[in-house]
Amino acid sequence: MDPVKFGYWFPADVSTHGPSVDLLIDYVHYLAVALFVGWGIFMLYCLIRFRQRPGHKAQYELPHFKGSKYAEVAVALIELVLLLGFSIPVWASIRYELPRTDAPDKVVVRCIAEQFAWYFWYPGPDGEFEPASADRIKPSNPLGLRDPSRDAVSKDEFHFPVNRPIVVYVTSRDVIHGFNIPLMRVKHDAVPGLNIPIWFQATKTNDEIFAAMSPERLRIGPALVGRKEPYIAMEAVKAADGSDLLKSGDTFVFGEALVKGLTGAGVQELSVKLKFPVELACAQLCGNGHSGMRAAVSIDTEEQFAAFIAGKMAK
Amino acid sequence: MTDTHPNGSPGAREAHGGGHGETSFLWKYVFSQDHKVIGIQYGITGLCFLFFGFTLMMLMRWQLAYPNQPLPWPWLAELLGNIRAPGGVLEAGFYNQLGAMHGTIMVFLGVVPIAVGAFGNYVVPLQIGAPDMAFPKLNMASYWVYFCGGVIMLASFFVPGGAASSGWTSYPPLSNIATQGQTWWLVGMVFLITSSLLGSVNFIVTIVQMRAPGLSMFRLPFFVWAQLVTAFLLLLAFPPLEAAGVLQLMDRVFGTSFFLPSGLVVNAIPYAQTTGYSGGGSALLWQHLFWFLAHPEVYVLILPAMGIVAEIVANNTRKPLWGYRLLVYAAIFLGFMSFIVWAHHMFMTGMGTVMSTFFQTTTMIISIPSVIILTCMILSLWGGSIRFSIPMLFALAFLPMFAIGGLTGLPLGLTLSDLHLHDTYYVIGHFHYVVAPGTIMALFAGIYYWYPKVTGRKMSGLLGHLHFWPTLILMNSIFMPMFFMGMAGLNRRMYDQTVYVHGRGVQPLSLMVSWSAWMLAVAQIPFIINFFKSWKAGEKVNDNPWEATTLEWAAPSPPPHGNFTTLPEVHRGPYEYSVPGQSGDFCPQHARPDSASEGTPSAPPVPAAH
Amino acid sequence: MSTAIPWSVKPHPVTGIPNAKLGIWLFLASEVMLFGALFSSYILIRTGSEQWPMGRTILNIPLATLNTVILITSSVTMVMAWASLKMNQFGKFKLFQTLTILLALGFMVVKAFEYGGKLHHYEVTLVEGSEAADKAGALKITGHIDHATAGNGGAITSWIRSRDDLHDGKISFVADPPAGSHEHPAAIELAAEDMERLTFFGPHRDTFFAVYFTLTGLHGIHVLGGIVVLLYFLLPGSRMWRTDPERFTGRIECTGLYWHFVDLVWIFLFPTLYLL
Repeated sequence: MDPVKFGYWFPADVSTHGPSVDLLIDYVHYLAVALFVGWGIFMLYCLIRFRQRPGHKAQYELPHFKGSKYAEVAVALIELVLLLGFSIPVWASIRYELPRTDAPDKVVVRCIAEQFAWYFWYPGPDGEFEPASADRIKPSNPLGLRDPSRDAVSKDEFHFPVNRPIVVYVTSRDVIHGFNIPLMRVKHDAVPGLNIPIWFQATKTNDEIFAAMSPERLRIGPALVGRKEPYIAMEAVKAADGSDLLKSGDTFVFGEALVKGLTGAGVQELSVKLKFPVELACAQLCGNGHSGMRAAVSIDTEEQFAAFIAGKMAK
Repeated sequence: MTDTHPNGSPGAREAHGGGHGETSFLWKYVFSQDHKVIGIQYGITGLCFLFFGFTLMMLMRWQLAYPNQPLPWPWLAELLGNIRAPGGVLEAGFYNQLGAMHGTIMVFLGVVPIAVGAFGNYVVPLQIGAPDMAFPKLNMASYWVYFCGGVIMLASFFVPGGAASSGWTSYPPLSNIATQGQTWWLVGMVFLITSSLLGSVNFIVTIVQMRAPGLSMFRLPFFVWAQLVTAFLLLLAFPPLEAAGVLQLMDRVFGTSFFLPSGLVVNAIPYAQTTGYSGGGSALLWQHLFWFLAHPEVYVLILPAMGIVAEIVANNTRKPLWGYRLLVYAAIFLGFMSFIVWAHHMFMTGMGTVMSTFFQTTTMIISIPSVIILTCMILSLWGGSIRFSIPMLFALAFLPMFAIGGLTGLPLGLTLSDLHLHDTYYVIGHFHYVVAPGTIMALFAGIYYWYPKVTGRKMSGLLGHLHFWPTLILMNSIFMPMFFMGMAGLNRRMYDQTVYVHGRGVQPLSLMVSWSAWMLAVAQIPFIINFFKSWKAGEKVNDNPWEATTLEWAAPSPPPHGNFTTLPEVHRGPYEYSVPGQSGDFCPQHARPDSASEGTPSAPPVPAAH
Repeated sequence: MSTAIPWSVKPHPVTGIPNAKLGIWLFLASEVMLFGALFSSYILIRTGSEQWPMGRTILNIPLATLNTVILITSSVTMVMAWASLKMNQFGKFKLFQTLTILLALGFMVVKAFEYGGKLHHYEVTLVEGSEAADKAGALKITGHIDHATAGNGGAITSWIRSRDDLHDGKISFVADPPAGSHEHPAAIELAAEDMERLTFFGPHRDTFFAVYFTLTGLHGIHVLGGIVVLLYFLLPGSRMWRTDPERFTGRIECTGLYWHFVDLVWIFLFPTLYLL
């Protein structure tokens, strides 16, 4: 499915547990629609048949309806099935049956949220997380690690390998944030003082999703200045003076100069693709920068992931 | 005098309050202790707040429809000033203030005061045949404390840093580190809680102690039952929020750490370094205390609306409600269950499987009485002789609208499906369907229905239609798209959703929502005209224009001080319409059995025999 | 037309009580929820904390015991006041009502001493490696300030909340007696620059003190509210005794119910805060 098609029903899903979530949502909506249509038809029928008109009189005593009781019992039973058959067991499995500690292929990441950024903290080759302390925090060592060169830390860009269980310890160091990847049906609050593990597993790589998505037409305006996410241009744009502003296939970030150039060239809409089409959003109101608290998610192949970690370690 | 009346004789020594008999304007209309005047005060104030809260939302909808574009009217930007709208573009912090205050004002200053303060105050004593509320002075105090709370909330917009901006839920630590407006919010809430406490004690005592002779509990109109359950919810659920408010005030004013865990780092500086706070608190404690109130609060919002709809449906189908006793039991069960479902708002905070299993089970259980109530109301239509009066139209619209609101609660009540929908626009759509096209439609129904009792005049039918149809359509085109936006994964409380690719994907829907909201404001103009014009120029009607059975229609319109010319005596259940073997199609509760069978049920009440 | 409120004095035949009594019971139910929520919060915070100080090691148990006795006695005098009215002895009512108020005021005075002790009890965090730290032999010492002098030499008489209130002056600090002793060590001179931090034992100190001050403070507000009501019925409100004695007796009964509730809250507060 095209992941950029939003607003119809579900967006595409690239996680292993996502289908069961979507299935339950579908089932609940079948139940809801059936009930609503049933009620609606009955109501409309009553409104027409029993409308006030000359010669028509209301009945004081009604025949005993059994139907409503059956309907209510049926609703209760269906809810019971959804509850016992889906919600409770599947929830338990996706939330609490964490991959065993000795599972060889799992990846453990710590996610630390703050106003208004996401930090992803990967252990170095030793597989251990460095001790951290708030007193050591400075721009070059945002997490206050004892030895920042021994671990990999990534800000606002979340990389993990495909087809492997990913365990993320989610926490926050100021207010409550919400760790949410809609395309993976992943959501959990990042609560200060709590370090809560969640896990998931992706089924598609970033490159596959990128290839499947269709370009979007982005409105050019001053609001784009300051957006950190990289885009890939799907069309070439020439500046007013005839020089190349963007070539098709260019990776770029909207900056003041580029937006000015585009506006100067009279471009109102630009055909682009997000370089990382999977997004991580903040789901809990966390302050004035809440809606900008966005991280890119890159689902990597093994090689890409290894290269990413190596690149972060080198810094 | 009725001192010899069996109901009033033994205890009635004190004609209440010196203020009652006085005729000066101040005591008659401002500091009145008459439940009817207080009800009208609540109603007008509540409607003003409702409109104000709606205005806040319309401002927000501009930013959501046209992110980061200047407001369309320069005077509006000028009015808001450079801090709130620099260059005419709403500032993110001000947007959050609007969001928080929209929620607070709509719930605590708009809907509840109208549903409970206005309708409860005005109608309950009339429907139970009482001369007034049990404690008229408390009743007056309740209104004025509410009024002060409202003033404090409004004033908070003008303090440095503006009003509260952490959402109506005020989750700490965000609310703890927020600007001064949050303290005002907390103080305002303490006032509102005190007001509702005074009100709820009054309602319960009035309903339990002051029913007219013959009016047993199972002869009470369903509206009174709904108000009784609501009063219990207010009485018992609000104190935990008050406790939470006290704790947060301590945190903010005295530097305690009830909601602040150890080791916070704000702006990359350890919080202990900048403030010397001790830590050791829990951020989730607030959520438990808050939702322990706020879930029952949902039923505070919906139960009075159900009560209004029940009255109107029975009256306009000209037959008894289907399953009156079932409705009562369902309402009581609903009230009870609402105390043990609160943590379903917190599924994503890391609670254990036992907790989540318990709370999703109770949540599924609480859906059953709601289904029963709705089914009873819809079945009540069967076999009726349905009048499509204006109140009935609104009441009928309530049923499917509330159904949508209730049914969309199901996927949110199951943890697994909540995983995708939690904190998205789906949630916004869900609870707004309950409260806006649901409760507010019922409140409109109530206004059209009881207007003749309050003023002695009917509201215009033409303007009523002009109000109803656009409102119904626009309410749906506002809230229906939100389900689809939520399905796409769009989170709520976003200042600029076009930051996200999924937000840009549903931006056309957002545009539709905004335009519908603005048109909804226009659609209220017929109502406003109707409301004020009919006060003096509406069609004059008799005391019982809807040919209804309940006791409020036995009083003159408008009811005088003390309500009834003679205190009524009750002889039958609340909805005796179309009783076989009678000439008229309704049989009022107070009509004496013999006179009823003679076919003169609409005759004025016969004085009780002495 | 009648505006008389039925059952405002006589008991309702079905419920058996008049309006006001039902009202006060409902109000107390709501109060139970308020204090219940606060006690639950206390339990939640306490069980969630890594360490929790024992109240008896910090708080003044003799004073609290005295207060418990005072409050229970006041409940007894409250009952006597109501019973006097029932027996038609207005003079005795005045006596017992006055006694109740005096006891309530006594409670508040004792409470003020208890609070004062905490607010004038300090913890000093000394600068690491400073001379003062060497002399004191520890980085953190608790005790009270004997007297304080500002940087310009003037004595500071106002309450000192933090180091900033010293204006670069110094304090003469008397440390608490060491464990197992009642002898205060000799006062030491501490200059503002020797101290990293100076703080009193107020609600901000830690979650224990936060809970202590919040719960006892809210209870204190309830006592104060009770005093106001009791005073009203002792002085201007008592005129009703001449016009409507039955109603007046009912009001005193409701006041009593409230007063017993305030007493009961203390009975819960005392062990949970001071003893456990």
